Amino acid sequence: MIYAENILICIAVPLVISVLFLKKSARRFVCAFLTGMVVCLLSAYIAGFLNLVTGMGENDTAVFLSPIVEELMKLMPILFYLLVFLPEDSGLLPVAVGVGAGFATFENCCYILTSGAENLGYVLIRGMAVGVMHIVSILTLTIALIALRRYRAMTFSGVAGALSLAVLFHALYNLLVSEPGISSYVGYALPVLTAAVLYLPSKKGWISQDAAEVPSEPR
Amino acid sequence: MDTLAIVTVFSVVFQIGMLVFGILFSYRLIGKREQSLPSVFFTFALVSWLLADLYWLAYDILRPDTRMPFAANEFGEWAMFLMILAGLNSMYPRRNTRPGTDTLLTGFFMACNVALWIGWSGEWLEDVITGLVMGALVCTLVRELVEAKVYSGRMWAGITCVCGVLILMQSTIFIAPKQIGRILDVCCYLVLFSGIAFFCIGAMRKHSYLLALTGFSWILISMYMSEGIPYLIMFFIDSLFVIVLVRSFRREVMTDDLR
Repeated sequence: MIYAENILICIAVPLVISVLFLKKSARRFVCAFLTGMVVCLLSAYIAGFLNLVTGMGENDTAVFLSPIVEELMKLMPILFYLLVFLPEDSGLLPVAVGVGAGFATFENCCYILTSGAENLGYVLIRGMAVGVMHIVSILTLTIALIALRRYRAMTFSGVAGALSLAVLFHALYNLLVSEPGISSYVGYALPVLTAAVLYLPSKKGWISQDAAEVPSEPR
Repeated sequence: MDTLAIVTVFSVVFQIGMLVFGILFSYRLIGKREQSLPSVFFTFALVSWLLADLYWLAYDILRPDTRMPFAANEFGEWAMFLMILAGLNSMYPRRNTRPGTDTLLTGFFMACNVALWIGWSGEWLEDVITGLVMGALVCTLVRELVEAKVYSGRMWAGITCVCGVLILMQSTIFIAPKQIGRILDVCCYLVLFSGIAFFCIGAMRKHSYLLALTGFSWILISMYMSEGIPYLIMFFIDSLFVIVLVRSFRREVMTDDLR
Protein backbone atom coordinates (compact mmCIF):
# COMPACT_ATOMS: atom_id res chain seq x y z
CA MET A 1 0.00 0.00 0.00
CA ILE A 2 1.18 3.52 -0.80
CA TYR A 3 0.02 6.84 0.63
CA ALA A 4 -0.98 8.59 -2.59
CA GLU A 5 -2.04 11.81 -0.84
CA ASN A 6 1.41 12.17 0.72
CA ILE A 7 3.09 11.61 -2.64
CA LEU A 8 0.84 14.25 -4.17
CA ILE A 9 1.77 16.77 -1.47
CA CYS A 10 5.46 15.96 -1.91
CA ILE A 11 5.36 16.58 -5.67
CA ALA A 12 2.89 19.46 -5.57
CA VAL A 13 4.61 21.73 -3.01
CA PRO A 14 7.59 22.74 -5.21
CA LEU A 15 5.24 23.23 -8.14
CA VAL A 16 2.89 25.43 -6.09
CA ILE A 17 5.83 27.56 -5.01
CA SER A 18 7.12 27.78 -8.57
CA VAL A 19 3.72 29.15 -9.65
CA LEU A 20 4.42 32.27 -7.55
CA PHE A 21 7.44 33.10 -9.73
CA LEU A 22 5.91 32.29 -13.10
CA LYS A 23 3.78 34.35 -15.44
CA LYS A 24 1.02 33.85 -17.99
CA SER A 25 1.34 30.68 -20.09
CA ALA A 26 4.01 29.06 -17.89
CA ARG A 27 1.86 29.63 -14.78
CA ARG A 28 -1.18 28.30 -16.62
CA PHE A 29 0.70 25.15 -17.62
CA VAL A 30 1.96 24.45 -14.09
CA CYS A 31 -1.54 25.02 -12.66
CA ALA A 32 -2.94 22.62 -15.25
CA PHE A 33 -0.20 20.11 -14.36
CA LEU A 34 -1.16 20.32 -10.68
CA THR A 35 -4.83 19.96 -11.57
CA GLY A 36 -3.98 16.85 -13.58
CA MET A 37 -2.31 15.28 -10.55
CA VAL A 38 -5.26 16.07 -8.27
CA VAL A 39 -7.66 14.69 -10.88
CA CYS A 40 -5.58 11.50 -11.02
CA LEU A 41 -5.88 11.06 -7.25
CA LEU A 42 -9.64 11.66 -7.34
CA SER A 43 -10.00 9.20 -10.22
CA ALA A 44 -8.14 6.57 -8.21
CA TYR A 45 -10.56 7.12 -5.31
CA ILE A 46 -13.60 6.75 -7.57
CA ALA A 47 -12.18 3.70 -9.38
CA GLY A 48 -11.39 2.09 -6.00
CA PHE A 49 -14.93 2.78 -4.83
CA LEU A 50 -16.41 1.29 -8.03
CA ASN A 51 -14.17 -1.74 -7.64
CA LEU A 52 -15.66 -2.37 -4.20
CA VAL A 53 -19.24 -1.67 -5.24
CA THR A 54 -19.26 -3.73 -8.45
CA GLY A 55 -16.94 -6.49 -7.22
CA MET A 56 -15.32 -6.67 -10.65
CA GLY A 57 -11.80 -7.15 -9.34
CA GLU A 58 -8.79 -4.85 -9.72
CA ASN A 59 -7.80 -6.03 -13.18
CA ASP A 60 -11.27 -5.79 -14.71
CA THR A 61 -11.85 -2.42 -13.04
CA ALA A 62 -8.61 -1.12 -14.56
CA VAL A 63 -9.50 -2.45 -18.01
CA PHE A 64 -13.21 -1.63 -18.16
CA LEU A 65 -14.13 1.07 -15.63
CA SER A 66 -10.99 3.20 -15.16
CA PRO A 67 -11.05 4.62 -18.71
CA ILE A 68 -14.56 5.97 -18.16
CA VAL A 69 -13.73 7.49 -14.77
CA GLU A 70 -10.37 8.93 -15.83
CA GLU A 71 -11.53 10.49 -19.08
CA LEU A 72 -14.61 11.95 -17.44
CA MET A 73 -12.47 13.42 -14.65
CA LYS A 74 -9.95 14.83 -17.14
CA LEU A 75 -12.75 16.43 -19.14
CA MET A 76 -14.08 18.34 -16.09
CA PRO A 77 -11.20 20.87 -15.67
CA ILE A 78 -10.90 21.37 -19.43
CA LEU A 79 -14.62 21.99 -19.79
CA PHE A 80 -14.58 24.32 -16.77
CA TYR A 81 -11.67 26.29 -18.20
CA LEU A 82 -13.29 26.39 -21.63
CA LEU A 83 -16.70 27.56 -20.45
CA VAL A 84 -15.68 29.90 -17.61
CA PHE A 85 -12.46 31.54 -18.85
CA LEU A 86 -13.33 31.39 -22.58
CA PRO A 87 -9.69 30.96 -23.67
CA GLU A 88 -8.50 31.13 -27.27
CA ASP A 89 -7.75 27.83 -29.01
CA SER A 90 -4.02 28.46 -28.68
CA GLY A 91 -4.45 28.90 -24.90
CA LEU A 92 -6.56 25.80 -24.45
CA LEU A 93 -4.11 23.27 -25.86
CA PRO A 94 -1.27 23.90 -23.33
CA VAL A 95 -3.79 23.56 -20.49
CA ALA A 96 -5.06 20.27 -21.91
CA VAL A 97 -1.51 18.98 -22.34
CA GLY A 98 -0.71 20.12 -18.78
CA VAL A 99 -3.68 18.23 -17.31
CA GLY A 100 -2.75 15.11 -19.29
CA ALA A 101 0.93 15.33 -18.36
CA GLY A 102 0.13 15.91 -14.66
CA PHE A 103 -2.24 12.97 -14.65
CA ALA A 104 0.28 10.67 -16.34
CA THR A 105 3.17 11.81 -14.11
CA PHE A 106 1.29 11.20 -10.88
CA GLU A 107 0.01 7.83 -12.09
CA ASN A 108 3.55 6.81 -13.08
CA CYS A 109 4.94 7.94 -9.70
CA CYS A 110 2.42 5.84 -7.81
CA TYR A 111 2.98 2.88 -10.14
CA ILE A 112 6.75 2.99 -9.74
CA LEU A 113 6.47 3.24 -5.95
CA THR A 114 4.18 0.20 -5.96
CA SER A 115 6.00 -2.02 -8.46
CA GLY A 116 9.58 -0.80 -8.24
CA ALA A 117 11.81 0.86 -10.84
CA GLU A 118 14.65 -1.66 -11.18
CA ASN A 119 13.99 -2.44 -14.83
CA LEU A 120 14.90 0.67 -16.82
CA GLY A 121 13.52 -0.76 -20.07
CA TYR A 122 10.09 -1.38 -18.59
CA VAL A 123 10.04 2.02 -16.89
CA LEU A 124 10.86 3.66 -20.21
CA ILE A 125 8.12 1.74 -22.01
CA ARG A 126 5.64 2.69 -19.31
CA GLY A 127 6.65 6.33 -19.51
CA MET A 128 6.37 6.37 -23.28
CA ALA A 129 3.09 4.47 -23.36
CA VAL A 130 1.00 5.66 -20.39
CA GLY A 131 2.51 9.12 -20.43
CA VAL A 132 1.77 9.64 -24.11
CA MET A 133 -1.62 7.89 -23.90
CA HIS A 134 -3.02 10.35 -21.34
CA ILE A 135 -1.78 13.30 -23.36
CA VAL A 136 -3.13 11.85 -26.62
CA SER A 137 -6.56 11.06 -25.20
CA ILE A 138 -6.99 14.53 -23.72
CA LEU A 139 -5.64 16.11 -26.90
CA THR A 140 -8.22 14.22 -28.96
CA LEU A 141 -10.90 15.45 -26.60
CA THR A 142 -9.64 19.03 -26.74
CA ILE A 143 -9.32 19.05 -30.53
CA ALA A 144 -12.93 17.89 -30.74
CA LEU A 145 -13.98 20.61 -28.27
CA ILE A 146 -12.07 23.24 -30.25
CA ALA A 147 -13.74 22.06 -33.47
CA LEU A 148 -17.14 22.21 -31.81
CA ARG A 149 -16.54 25.70 -30.46
CA ARG A 150 -14.95 26.99 -33.64
CA TYR A 151 -18.03 26.12 -35.65
CA ARG A 152 -20.38 27.25 -32.86
CA ALA A 153 -21.69 23.71 -32.48
CA MET A 154 -20.95 23.21 -28.77
CA THR A 155 -23.90 20.88 -28.17
CA PHE A 156 -24.34 18.13 -25.62
CA SER A 157 -24.23 15.50 -28.35
CA GLY A 158 -20.92 16.87 -29.63
CA VAL A 159 -19.23 16.99 -26.21
CA ALA A 160 -20.56 13.57 -25.19
CA GLY A 161 -19.43 12.15 -28.54
CA ALA A 162 -15.92 13.54 -28.06
CA LEU A 163 -15.78 12.15 -24.52
CA SER A 164 -16.93 8.72 -25.70
CA LEU A 165 -14.21 8.73 -28.34
CA ALA A 166 -11.53 9.52 -25.72
CA VAL A 167 -12.90 6.83 -23.38
CA LEU A 168 -12.82 4.25 -26.15
CA PHE A 169 -9.24 5.11 -27.11
CA HIS A 170 -8.18 4.77 -23.45
CA ALA A 171 -10.16 1.53 -23.04
CA LEU A 172 -8.56 0.05 -26.17
CA TYR A 173 -5.08 0.85 -24.82
CA ASN A 174 -5.90 -0.65 -21.39
CA LEU A 175 -7.31 -3.81 -22.99
CA LEU A 176 -4.30 -4.31 -25.25
CA VAL A 177 -1.72 -3.90 -22.49
CA SER A 178 -3.70 -6.02 -20.01
CA GLU A 179 -2.51 -9.23 -21.71
CA PRO A 180 1.18 -10.06 -22.19
CA GLY A 181 2.58 -10.72 -25.67
CA ILE A 182 2.16 -9.04 -29.05
CA SER A 183 -1.05 -7.26 -28.03
CA SER A 184 0.77 -5.38 -25.28
CA TYR A 185 3.42 -4.18 -27.76
CA VAL A 186 0.65 -3.00 -30.09
CA GLY A 187 -0.91 -1.26 -27.07
CA TYR A 188 2.36 0.46 -26.14
CA ALA A 189 2.84 1.62 -29.74
CA LEU A 190 -0.75 2.88 -30.12
CA PRO A 191 -0.37 6.18 -28.17
CA VAL A 192 2.92 7.07 -29.89
CA LEU A 193 1.45 6.41 -33.34
CA THR A 194 -1.68 8.42 -32.52
CA ALA A 195 0.49 11.24 -31.17
CA ALA A 196 2.32 11.27 -34.50
CA VAL A 197 -0.99 11.45 -36.36
CA LEU A 198 -2.19 14.30 -34.11
CA TYR A 199 1.11 16.12 -34.51
CA LEU A 200 0.52 16.62 -38.24
CA PRO A 201 -2.62 18.79 -37.98
CA SER A 202 -1.10 20.75 -35.09
CA LYS A 203 2.01 21.40 -37.20
CA LYS A 204 -0.13 22.56 -40.10
CA GLY A 205 -1.84 24.98 -37.71
CA TRP A 206 -5.33 23.46 -38.08
CA ILE A 207 -5.70 23.04 -34.32
CA SER A 208 -4.27 26.24 -32.92
CA GLN A 209 -6.05 28.47 -35.43
CA ASP A 210 -8.20 30.86 -33.40
CA ALA A 211 -11.94 31.08 -33.75
CA ALA A 212 -11.75 34.59 -35.14
CA GLU A 213 -9.70 33.38 -38.09
CA VAL A 214 -12.30 30.89 -39.29
CA PRO A 215 -13.46 32.06 -42.69
CA SER A 216 -16.86 30.45 -42.91
CA GLU A 217 -19.95 30.36 -40.74
CA PRO A 218 -22.06 27.28 -40.25
CA ARG A 219 -25.43 27.24 -41.94
CA MET B 1 -13.02 -20.33 -31.11
CA ASP B 2 -15.79 -22.00 -33.11
CA THR B 3 -16.39 -21.50 -36.84
CA LEU B 4 -19.02 -18.80 -36.30
CA ALA B 5 -16.63 -16.81 -34.08
CA ILE B 6 -13.86 -17.06 -36.67
CA VAL B 7 -16.22 -15.92 -39.44
CA THR B 8 -17.30 -13.04 -37.17
CA VAL B 9 -13.67 -12.00 -36.66
CA PHE B 10 -13.11 -11.96 -40.44
CA SER B 11 -16.31 -9.96 -40.90
CA VAL B 12 -15.05 -7.37 -38.41
CA VAL B 13 -11.71 -7.19 -40.22
CA PHE B 14 -13.62 -6.61 -43.48
CA GLN B 15 -15.67 -3.86 -41.84
CA ILE B 16 -12.50 -2.26 -40.49
CA GLY B 17 -11.15 -2.18 -44.05
CA MET B 18 -14.33 -0.52 -45.30
CA LEU B 19 -14.19 2.02 -42.48
CA VAL B 20 -10.58 2.92 -43.20
CA PHE B 21 -11.60 3.59 -46.79
CA GLY B 22 -14.56 5.67 -45.57
CA ILE B 23 -12.40 7.68 -43.16
CA LEU B 24 -9.81 8.47 -45.82
CA PHE B 25 -12.57 9.54 -48.18
CA SER B 26 -14.41 11.75 -45.69
CA TYR B 27 -11.15 13.20 -44.32
CA ARG B 28 -10.40 14.52 -47.80
CA LEU B 29 -13.68 16.44 -47.72
CA ILE B 30 -12.60 18.44 -44.64
CA GLY B 31 -11.25 21.79 -45.64
CA LYS B 32 -11.97 21.22 -49.33
CA ARG B 33 -15.54 22.33 -49.00
CA GLU B 34 -16.75 25.61 -47.60
CA GLN B 35 -18.96 23.91 -45.01
CA SER B 36 -16.50 21.51 -43.41
CA LEU B 37 -18.26 21.04 -40.05
CA PRO B 38 -20.51 18.16 -41.20
CA SER B 39 -17.43 16.49 -42.70
CA VAL B 40 -15.57 16.86 -39.38
CA PHE B 41 -18.45 15.23 -37.51
CA PHE B 42 -18.85 12.52 -40.12
CA THR B 43 -15.13 11.68 -39.99
CA PHE B 44 -15.22 11.59 -36.18
CA ALA B 45 -18.26 9.28 -36.35
CA LEU B 46 -16.43 6.87 -38.65
CA VAL B 47 -13.31 6.99 -36.43
CA SER B 48 -15.48 6.13 -33.40
CA TRP B 49 -17.02 3.23 -35.29
CA LEU B 50 -13.54 2.04 -36.31
CA LEU B 51 -12.26 2.20 -32.72
CA ALA B 52 -15.34 0.29 -31.51
CA ASP B 53 -14.60 -2.43 -34.06
CA LEU B 54 -10.91 -2.52 -33.09
CA TYR B 55 -11.85 -2.84 -29.42
CA TRP B 56 -14.28 -5.66 -30.19
CA LEU B 57 -11.67 -7.44 -32.33
CA ALA B 58 -8.95 -7.06 -29.66
CA TYR B 59 -11.30 -8.35 -26.96
CA ASP B 60 -12.41 -11.33 -29.06
CA ILE B 61 -8.81 -12.32 -29.77
CA LEU B 62 -7.41 -11.66 -26.28
CA ARG B 63 -10.29 -13.05 -24.24
CA PRO B 64 -12.22 -15.46 -26.49
CA ASP B 65 -15.48 -16.94 -25.22
CA THR B 66 -15.70 -14.60 -22.24
CA ARG B 67 -18.46 -12.07 -21.79
CA MET B 68 -17.40 -8.45 -21.36
CA PRO B 69 -18.07 -7.28 -17.79
CA PHE B 70 -18.64 -3.84 -19.28
CA ALA B 71 -18.87 -3.42 -23.04
CA ALA B 72 -16.51 -0.49 -23.60
CA ASN B 73 -16.91 -0.79 -27.37
CA GLU B 74 -20.42 0.54 -26.90
CA PHE B 75 -18.79 3.88 -26.10
CA GLY B 76 -17.66 3.89 -29.70
CA GLU B 77 -21.20 3.27 -30.88
CA TRP B 78 -22.53 6.03 -28.64
CA ALA B 79 -19.84 8.38 -29.94
CA MET B 80 -20.77 7.44 -33.51
CA PHE B 81 -24.49 8.12 -32.96
CA LEU B 82 -23.76 11.40 -31.17
CA MET B 83 -21.35 12.60 -33.85
CA ILE B 84 -23.81 11.75 -36.63
CA LEU B 85 -26.52 13.55 -34.64
CA ALA B 86 -24.29 16.62 -34.16
CA GLY B 87 -23.53 16.54 -37.90
CA LEU B 88 -27.23 16.29 -38.76
CA ASN B 89 -28.03 19.24 -36.50
CA SER B 90 -25.35 21.30 -38.23
CA MET B 91 -26.62 20.32 -41.70
CA TYR B 92 -30.28 20.85 -40.95
CA PRO B 93 -30.80 23.74 -38.50
CA ARG B 94 -33.17 22.97 -35.65
CA ARG B 95 -36.67 24.36 -35.88
CA ASN B 96 -38.43 25.62 -32.78
CA THR B 97 -41.38 23.31 -33.15
CA ARG B 98 -42.83 21.02 -30.53
CA PRO B 99 -42.32 17.26 -30.98
CA GLY B 100 -45.06 15.88 -33.18
CA THR B 101 -46.73 12.50 -33.52
CA ASP B 102 -43.80 11.24 -35.60
CA THR B 103 -41.34 11.95 -32.76
CA LEU B 104 -43.62 10.39 -30.15
CA LEU B 105 -44.15 7.23 -32.20
CA THR B 106 -40.44 6.93 -32.97
CA GLY B 107 -39.65 7.45 -29.27
CA PHE B 108 -42.15 4.72 -28.38
CA PHE B 109 -40.63 2.34 -30.96
CA MET B 110 -37.14 2.95 -29.58
CA ALA B 111 -38.38 2.51 -25.97
CA CYS B 112 -39.87 -0.87 -26.98
CA ASN B 113 -36.54 -1.78 -28.57
CA VAL B 114 -34.70 -0.91 -25.34
CA ALA B 115 -37.14 -3.07 -23.37
CA LEU B 116 -36.45 -5.97 -25.74
CA TRP B 117 -32.66 -5.51 -25.50
CA ILE B 118 -32.87 -5.54 -21.71
CA GLY B 119 -35.04 -8.66 -21.91
CA TRP B 120 -32.42 -10.40 -24.05
CA SER B 121 -29.18 -9.24 -22.43
CA GLY B 122 -30.12 -8.01 -18.95
CA GLU B 123 -27.66 -5.13 -19.28
CA TRP B 124 -29.83 -2.29 -18.02
CA LEU B 125 -27.40 0.62 -18.00
CA GLU B 126 -25.79 0.07 -21.39
CA ASP B 127 -29.07 -0.73 -23.13
CA VAL B 128 -30.80 2.34 -21.72
CA ILE B 129 -27.91 4.66 -22.74
CA THR B 130 -27.70 3.06 -26.20
CA GLY B 131 -31.47 3.45 -26.53
CA LEU B 132 -31.36 7.11 -25.49
CA VAL B 133 -28.50 7.99 -27.84
CA MET B 134 -29.79 5.99 -30.79
CA GLY B 135 -33.35 7.16 -30.06
CA ALA B 136 -32.24 10.79 -30.28
CA LEU B 137 -30.65 10.11 -33.65
CA VAL B 138 -33.60 8.14 -35.05
CA CYS B 139 -36.11 10.76 -33.80
CA THR B 140 -34.11 13.56 -35.48
CA LEU B 141 -33.85 11.48 -38.63
CA VAL B 142 -37.60 10.78 -38.79
CA ARG B 143 -38.27 14.47 -38.15
CA GLU B 144 -36.07 15.46 -41.07
CA LEU B 145 -37.63 12.81 -43.31
CA VAL B 146 -41.10 14.15 -42.47
CA GLU B 147 -39.97 17.76 -43.06
CA ALA B 148 -38.38 16.80 -46.39
CA LYS B 149 -41.56 14.88 -47.37
CA VAL B 150 -39.51 11.90 -48.48
CA TYR B 151 -42.33 9.42 -47.87
CA SER B 152 -46.05 9.88 -48.45
CA GLY B 153 -48.61 9.62 -45.64
CA ARG B 154 -49.56 6.10 -46.74
CA MET B 155 -45.93 5.06 -46.71
CA TRP B 156 -45.50 6.36 -43.16
CA ALA B 157 -48.63 4.50 -42.06
CA GLY B 158 -47.19 1.33 -43.59
CA ILE B 159 -43.80 1.80 -41.89
CA THR B 160 -45.54 2.44 -38.54
CA CYS B 161 -47.63 -0.73 -38.92
CA VAL B 162 -44.57 -2.83 -39.82
CA CYS B 163 -42.65 -1.50 -36.80
CA GLY B 164 -45.64 -2.18 -34.53
CA VAL B 165 -46.06 -5.74 -35.84
CA LEU B 166 -42.32 -6.35 -35.45
CA ILE B 167 -42.31 -5.26 -31.81
CA LEU B 168 -45.45 -7.30 -31.15
CA MET B 169 -43.93 -10.45 -32.66
CA GLN B 170 -40.61 -10.01 -30.84
CA SER B 171 -42.45 -9.54 -27.53
CA THR B 172 -44.67 -12.57 -28.12
CA ILE B 173 -41.60 -14.79 -28.60
CA PHE B 174 -40.82 -14.31 -24.87
CA ILE B 175 -44.07 -15.97 -23.78
CA ALA B 176 -45.04 -18.14 -26.76
CA PRO B 177 -44.43 -21.93 -26.85
CA LYS B 178 -41.18 -22.97 -28.52
CA GLN B 179 -42.62 -23.96 -31.92
CA ILE B 180 -44.73 -20.83 -32.30
CA GLY B 181 -41.70 -18.86 -31.12
CA ARG B 182 -39.64 -20.32 -33.96
CA ILE B 183 -42.28 -19.41 -36.55
CA LEU B 184 -42.47 -15.88 -35.15
CA ASP B 185 -38.69 -15.68 -35.22
CA VAL B 186 -38.64 -16.53 -38.93
CA CYS B 187 -41.40 -13.98 -39.57
CA CYS B 188 -39.36 -11.32 -37.70
CA TYR B 189 -36.31 -12.05 -39.85
CA LEU B 190 -38.45 -11.77 -42.98
CA VAL B 191 -39.70 -8.36 -41.84
CA LEU B 192 -36.19 -7.21 -40.88
CA PHE B 193 -34.62 -8.28 -44.18
CA SER B 194 -37.52 -6.80 -46.18
CA GLY B 195 -36.99 -3.52 -44.27
CA ILE B 196 -33.26 -3.63 -45.05
CA ALA B 197 -34.02 -4.19 -48.75
CA PHE B 198 -36.61 -1.38 -48.78
CA PHE B 199 -34.50 1.24 -47.03
CA CYS B 200 -31.19 0.31 -48.66
CA ILE B 201 -32.54 0.23 -52.21
CA GLY B 202 -34.26 3.57 -51.57
CA ALA B 203 -31.01 5.07 -50.28
CA MET B 204 -28.97 3.74 -53.21
CA ARG B 205 -31.46 4.95 -55.82
CA LYS B 206 -31.89 8.49 -54.51
CA HIS B 207 -28.34 9.04 -53.18
CA SER B 208 -29.86 10.89 -50.23
CA TYR B 209 -27.85 11.18 -47.01
CA LEU B 210 -31.03 11.14 -44.92
CA LEU B 211 -32.21 7.94 -46.61
CA ALA B 212 -28.76 6.40 -46.24
CA LEU B 213 -28.82 7.16 -42.50
CA THR B 214 -32.32 5.68 -42.28
CA GLY B 215 -31.11 2.51 -43.97
CA PHE B 216 -28.09 2.42 -41.67
CA SER B 217 -30.29 2.83 -38.58
CA TRP B 218 -32.63 0.07 -39.74
CA ILE B 219 -29.69 -2.28 -40.31
CA LEU B 220 -28.44 -1.57 -36.78
CA ILE B 221 -31.89 -2.09 -35.25
CA SER B 222 -32.13 -5.36 -37.19
CA MET B 223 -28.67 -6.43 -36.03
CA TYR B 224 -29.59 -5.77 -32.39
CA MET B 225 -32.62 -8.05 -32.91
CA SER B 226 -30.67 -10.90 -34.48
CA GLU B 227 -28.14 -13.59 -33.70
CA GLY B 228 -26.13 -16.28 -35.49
CA ILE B 229 -26.04 -16.37 -39.29
CA PRO B 230 -28.74 -13.71 -39.89
CA TYR B 231 -26.67 -11.37 -37.70
CA LEU B 232 -23.57 -12.08 -39.77
CA ILE B 233 -25.45 -11.40 -43.03
CA MET B 234 -26.69 -8.09 -41.62
CA PHE B 235 -23.20 -7.28 -40.41
CA PHE B 236 -21.87 -7.86 -43.91
CA ILE B 237 -24.58 -5.61 -45.39
CA ASP B 238 -23.75 -3.02 -42.73
CA SER B 239 -20.07 -3.12 -43.75
CA LEU B 240 -20.92 -2.67 -47.43
CA PHE B 241 -23.34 0.12 -46.53
CA VAL B 242 -20.36 2.26 -45.45
CA ILE B 243 -19.84 2.93 -49.18
CA VAL B 244 -23.46 4.11 -49.58
CA LEU B 245 -23.15 6.29 -46.48
CA VAL B 246 -19.93 7.93 -47.64
CA ARG B 247 -21.13 8.44 -51.22
CA SER B 248 -24.44 9.96 -50.17
CA PHE B 249 -22.69 12.17 -47.62
CA ARG B 250 -20.23 13.40 -50.26
CA ARG B 251 -23.08 14.14 -52.62
CA GLU B 252 -24.99 16.01 -49.89
CA VAL B 253 -22.00 18.17 -48.98
CA MET B 254 -21.08 18.90 -52.62
CA THR B 255 -24.67 19.79 -53.53
CA ASP B 256 -24.87 22.02 -50.47
CA ASP B 257 -21.93 24.07 -51.72
CA LEU B 258 -23.57 24.54 -55.11
CA ARG B 259 -26.80 25.89 -53.57
